[in-house]
Amino acid sequence: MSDTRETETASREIDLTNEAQSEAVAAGHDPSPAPIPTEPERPAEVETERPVVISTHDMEVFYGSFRAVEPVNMDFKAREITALIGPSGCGKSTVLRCFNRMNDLIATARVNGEVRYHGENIYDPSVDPVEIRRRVGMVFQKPNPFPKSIYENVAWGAKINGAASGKAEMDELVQNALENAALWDEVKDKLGESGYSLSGGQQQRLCIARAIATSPDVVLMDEPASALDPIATLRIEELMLELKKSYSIIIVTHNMQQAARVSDKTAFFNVKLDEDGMRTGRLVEYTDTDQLFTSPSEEETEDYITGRFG
Amino acid sequence: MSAPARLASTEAPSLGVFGRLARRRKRRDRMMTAVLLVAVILALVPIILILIEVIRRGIGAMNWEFLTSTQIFSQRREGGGYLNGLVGTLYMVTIATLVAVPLGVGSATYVVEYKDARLVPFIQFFTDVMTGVPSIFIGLYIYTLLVQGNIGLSVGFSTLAGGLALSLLMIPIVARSSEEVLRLVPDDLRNAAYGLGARRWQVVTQIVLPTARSGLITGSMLAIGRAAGETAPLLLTALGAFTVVPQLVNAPQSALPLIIYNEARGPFEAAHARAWAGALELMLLVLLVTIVARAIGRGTEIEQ
Amino acid sequence: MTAARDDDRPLARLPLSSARSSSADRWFRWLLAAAGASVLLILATMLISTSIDSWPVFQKEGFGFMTGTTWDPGTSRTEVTGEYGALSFIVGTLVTSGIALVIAVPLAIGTAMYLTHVASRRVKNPLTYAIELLAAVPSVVYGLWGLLFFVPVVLRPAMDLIAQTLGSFIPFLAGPVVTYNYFAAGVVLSIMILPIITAVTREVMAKTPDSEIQAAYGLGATRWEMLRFIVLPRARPGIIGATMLGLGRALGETIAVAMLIGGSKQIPDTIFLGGQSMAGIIAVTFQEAAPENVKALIGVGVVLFVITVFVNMVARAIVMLTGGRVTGDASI
Repeated sequence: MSDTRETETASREIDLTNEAQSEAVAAGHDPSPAPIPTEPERPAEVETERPVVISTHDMEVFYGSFRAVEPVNMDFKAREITALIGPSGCGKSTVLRCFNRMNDLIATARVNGEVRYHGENIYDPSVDPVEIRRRVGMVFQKPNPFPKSIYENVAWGAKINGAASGKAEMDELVQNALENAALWDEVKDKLGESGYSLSGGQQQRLCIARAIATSPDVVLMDEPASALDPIATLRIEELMLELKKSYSIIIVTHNMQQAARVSDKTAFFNVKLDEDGMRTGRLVEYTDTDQLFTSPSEEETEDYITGRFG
Repeated sequence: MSAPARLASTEAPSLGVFGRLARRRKRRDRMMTAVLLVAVILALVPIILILIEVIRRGIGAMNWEFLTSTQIFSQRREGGGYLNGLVGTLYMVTIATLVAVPLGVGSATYVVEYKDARLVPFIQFFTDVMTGVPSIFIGLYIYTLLVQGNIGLSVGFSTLAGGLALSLLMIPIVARSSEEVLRLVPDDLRNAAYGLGARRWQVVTQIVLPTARSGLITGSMLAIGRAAGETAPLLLTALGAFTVVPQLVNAPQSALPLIIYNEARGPFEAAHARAWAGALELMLLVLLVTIVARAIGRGTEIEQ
Repeated sequence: MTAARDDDRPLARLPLSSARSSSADRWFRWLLAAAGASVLLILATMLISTSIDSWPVFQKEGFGFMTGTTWDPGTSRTEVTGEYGALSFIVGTLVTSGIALVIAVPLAIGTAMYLTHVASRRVKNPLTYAIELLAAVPSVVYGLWGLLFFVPVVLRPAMDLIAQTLGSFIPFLAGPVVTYNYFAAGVVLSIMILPIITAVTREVMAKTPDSEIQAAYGLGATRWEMLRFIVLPRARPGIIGATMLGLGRALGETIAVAMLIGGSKQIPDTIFLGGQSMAGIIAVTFQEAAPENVKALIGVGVVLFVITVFVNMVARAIVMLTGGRVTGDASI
């Protein structure tokens, strides 16, 4: 397992090094060659090359007057997978839903602090949540394709956002999305059939295709594989690693092994029970996945990942 | 009769005190089961009798002339048909549907999709109240409003007045059944749609309503079936006519139930015979609508 | 991979106010709210319009409108000259509905019990469907069938029999017997309200917790004992609600009752003599009524409306308190 990870890390760095080089050239100065590391840790220079896509600044979530999530400060970089883990009730899904303002749909929910997307606060009153949701896509726990054809499922989100003008463009967009979701070969001959004619794993990949059809740069995934069988789960995980090349992915998962397999960085949330039995979530630790699972700095984290609770 | 303190097993074929009690309880159980069966049979007998009589007597009097000609002016004589009634019924029911379905589905959509709005509990409550309004009262209301012209504009006894009366009957039925159907659309689908960056009106019109479409159609068709069979409100708004009436306003309109009502109450045999045929025609119409409605509803349940 | 990426485009694309198409959202919401509000508007104007029209009659008769038994319409176009006491019609409506309930409720309970706990699965659905079919028969067909077949052929002999036997010691069951009377209307009315009472009772009985049923059987109870001591007590409030719903339906029924109740303006001494209902007097006399008579008939309608709506509201409140809103088409 660790071998694969090292190879992956190495290949990631080579990509980034190439990109870094071309960016540097474009900026007009000589790039210094990035050293090939001997340890699994990523060197600092390479990290700074990837821009921060989403950052939170003292983000809290309230339901009415009850604080459900304590202030969270996190940075999510482009083309990186971050996993949010923690016991049930720790608020990880709530936090995820803050990033595309889906919590707006809950009447009593309120978000304090800032969530910045490419530097702009998405909770600013002048910001249209619809625009956010187009650029920050979401995949849900239970596959939920629309009762439409496979083609229509993928096309609908793009259509209402005015993405394609004309059938040829839309066809291409649908095909791209399905290819990127590793579903094209399986459905290319039956695009007109209902989305429900697919298996669970295929439906989830359809939902992923649907989400990326609106050209987001971030994809949020709320336990995307928990309703699927192990084989389908594996395919979703493989797909995530592919998608990482183009998208920033934030995934909520209750499966620690999945987080370890798939993510670059992991955030551990824990839950606090107050006297009334109300649960408040708290970000405990947020760091590189390897570090969190091998030598976490917080005792709570260690207790969780070693199975002492949760 | 003193009963022993312990319950006896009903299977025990034993003698003595326990055995006697057990047998008595068993007898009573069998007797009551028979009573229940009698109740069911009594409940079913009427529908069988009605169907038999309507078919028997209706078929006898139903012929091509009946279906295609209008009424003759004398009830005593034989001949003529109820075409004017059939046309009038279809005409008014169409108007009623055009008014009631948008209002009913629209109201239900508001109640389900904007469920936290302050108006919603009132709408739900008063829609329920409206289902209980006597149909003759609806006729009185439309009469005072539009036939007499309380609000300044008067259309007289007319197709429009009759159609609107029927629509008032239909609205609460459509609204109630639509509400139930819309609630069945899973929230998952709405969340997915919002997550893609859709506006509320897009989510509702392009995802929720199409998903619920077959259920909405079923509910509306059941309301149509009910409206087609109504007589009382039409007595006060459409009044009745002997010919096919194409005008929308200021001319009384005929309807199948109205003709049946009038011909049945008279003393003439010929009229009675026609009335049975008319009843058969009406029931076939209602049955057709009901069966189609249920078929649409059963064929496509909301998929999970 | 050719996925487009927005990395480099800042959010300056966001409109500074969210006015873009949330105006579409606002129009949409208003449209739907208007549809919903139309129900409120219609009900309000219903009561107002009819009350205004009938006010002159109420003004003249006062409470006598509801307690007087003389219904002697005048022919004036402008004034109220006749005498309008609607008590006999109120009594007619209430008595026929009462008869209908007395017949329908036990039948409905028995049928519901049978359907929920005795009938085999194969039989249950067709039977349920058949009973719900009763609700699809138009009112005028019930009237026609009752008028020309059921009452003269089936009921009349029964009425004579009852009048001769029970009628000898129960005054309101005594003769003389005419063919079309309270009883005839009540019996046909009971057939008409059977589906709704059965449907609601069935739903309530189906909600009996399986654990209690199994517990009863486990103790050795017979099926009837289980029905009587477990299902029935639990279903009682729901049955009351169902009964009231049926009552509401019966009160508002016009045509079938009008065709079968006989058409007399007096309160008869026995249910085997003819009378008239509130809805009936409106239906039967409206078309030839002079303007002042029309006002009085509208007044009768108002009284009917108030009574019926009140009963329905109480009924739905009860049904709601005992388990959910009334569902299904037979219930409407």
